[in-house]
Amino acid sequence: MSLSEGENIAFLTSSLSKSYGLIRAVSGVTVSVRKGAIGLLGPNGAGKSTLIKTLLGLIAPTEGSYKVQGRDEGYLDSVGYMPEHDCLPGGLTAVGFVSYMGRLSGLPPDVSMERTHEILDFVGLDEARYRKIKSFSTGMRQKVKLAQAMVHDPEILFFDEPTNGLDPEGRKEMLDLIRDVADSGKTIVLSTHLLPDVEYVCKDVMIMNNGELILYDSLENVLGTQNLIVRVKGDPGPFSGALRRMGYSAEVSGGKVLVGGNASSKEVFMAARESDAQVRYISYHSHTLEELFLQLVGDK
Amino acid sequence: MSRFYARYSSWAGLRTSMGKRMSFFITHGLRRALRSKWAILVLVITYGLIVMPRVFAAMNPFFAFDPLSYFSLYDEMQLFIMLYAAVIGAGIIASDFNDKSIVLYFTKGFSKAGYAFGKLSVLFLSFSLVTILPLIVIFAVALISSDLGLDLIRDNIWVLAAGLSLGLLVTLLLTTLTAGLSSLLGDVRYAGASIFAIFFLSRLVSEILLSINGNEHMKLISLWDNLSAVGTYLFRLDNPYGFPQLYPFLVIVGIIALSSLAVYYILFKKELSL
Repeated sequence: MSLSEGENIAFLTSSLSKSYGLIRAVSGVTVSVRKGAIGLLGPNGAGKSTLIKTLLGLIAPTEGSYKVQGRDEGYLDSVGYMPEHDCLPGGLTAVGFVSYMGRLSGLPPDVSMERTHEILDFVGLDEARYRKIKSFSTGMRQKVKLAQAMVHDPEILFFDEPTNGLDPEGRKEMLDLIRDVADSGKTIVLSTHLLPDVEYVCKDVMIMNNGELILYDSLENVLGTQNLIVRVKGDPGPFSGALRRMGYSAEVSGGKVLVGGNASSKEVFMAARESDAQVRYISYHSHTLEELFLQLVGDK
Repeated sequence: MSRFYARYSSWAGLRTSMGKRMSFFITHGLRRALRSKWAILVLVITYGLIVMPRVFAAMNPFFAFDPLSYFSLYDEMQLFIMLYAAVIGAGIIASDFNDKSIVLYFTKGFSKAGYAFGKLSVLFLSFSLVTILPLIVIFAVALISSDLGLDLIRDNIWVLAAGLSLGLLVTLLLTTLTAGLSSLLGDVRYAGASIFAIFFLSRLVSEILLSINGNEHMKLISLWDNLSAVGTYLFRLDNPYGFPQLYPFLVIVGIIALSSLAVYYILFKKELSL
């Protein structure tokens, strides 16, 4: 998907690369990412965090350029970041820390305190907000990290593995919070290696592997592509060959042929006639994100 | 199941300027540093045991503007100044590395130069409380206790200038040294211990070497002796060291430069890939 720079673009990169010696953490990423809820997927070490840190200006790219909110600098007031690692000073209370971050982000004192309480209500930290952070559980710390990222009302929020270390209940709660933020019209970039998290929250998906961007599309497009599973009598080789000649992908697996490219049953029967095959079974099959991910990452 | 928490609302007001954010950053840092119970304890002891007796002594015209009296103030305070530097300075940058919150500052619109300026300002202002403020208080009391004549001020203002210069040098040295060690070590406890150790060990080593070979230049190894040597020059006292007072001044400038370089390297050159 290629998009030109415009108001609907959250960030764009052009041949963005970051190397550490011989290792290319991010390799020639060129993309224009639309506003909305974007899932940044990839296995550990795929370059997701490096890409985010580069966009935040924490890491200087080795090559290429980028723009966030249409600007290559001075955009940080409109960006929020929830790091993957712990980043909270244990000696401060949640209220003290979040309002401090609000002031540093340019909120006037009264607004900062008002919004701090509002955001802490939003993330569900009640009386605990007056306790020192060092006494917090992992889930509570994640909520404080989320609150500090949101307190100054940024337009884009980068969440780096926000559900790390959370139990299933805490994970669901965190994803609900992030989805609520996205529903409020903010752009969110959710970096994770957990596919269900992306399916639950996001509308678009970016998949990275070995530093390269291998897919950027809407989840609707990605998951909406229907395949056909066909079983034929005898050797499926000639039948799959006929399908390929017709311009469809055909993958033979376990005696079945997976037909891609939105082929209809009519074309399947045409291919069967051409290859003298007898169709015994035919059914529709939609991709799951997991299948697509394994297919793309496995290929690479 | 939908959540029952409050909704997320937007804010469209005007953001404060970077100058105001910086001033808040510094005052917040200063408040946190001075709220530490150890810092309060060292301040109370320093002012109670050393500064207050000097304040009373300054009311006596015989001691009011005596350069030796002002010079010896720093010598008497050195232990407390070191303690204070270890207690206050160690955590200023190291704690941000320790809890990894340093990344957050740079995602809130703070540049690395702004962060360094803010932290160094917090250190400078904190240290000034034990290196510059006592001298100003004592000199002010001495002036008030005297007849406040213009001649008296004109004749003795150099004592204040000398004291302020020495105080400024001590503060600059402590600021850069603690910031350097704090950022290099990235650990509050190690940084605190090393600040203290550098002053003591440098003196110990210099004393041992001096007693072995009798060479007065060995005193150049001791940080505090270097400051004292510069102090004798500033207060126009006899030079008790066997070398020109320019040497210790150059040593101090070198340490300030090296420490600043350490801060620069850690913050600007080393990638913050936390």
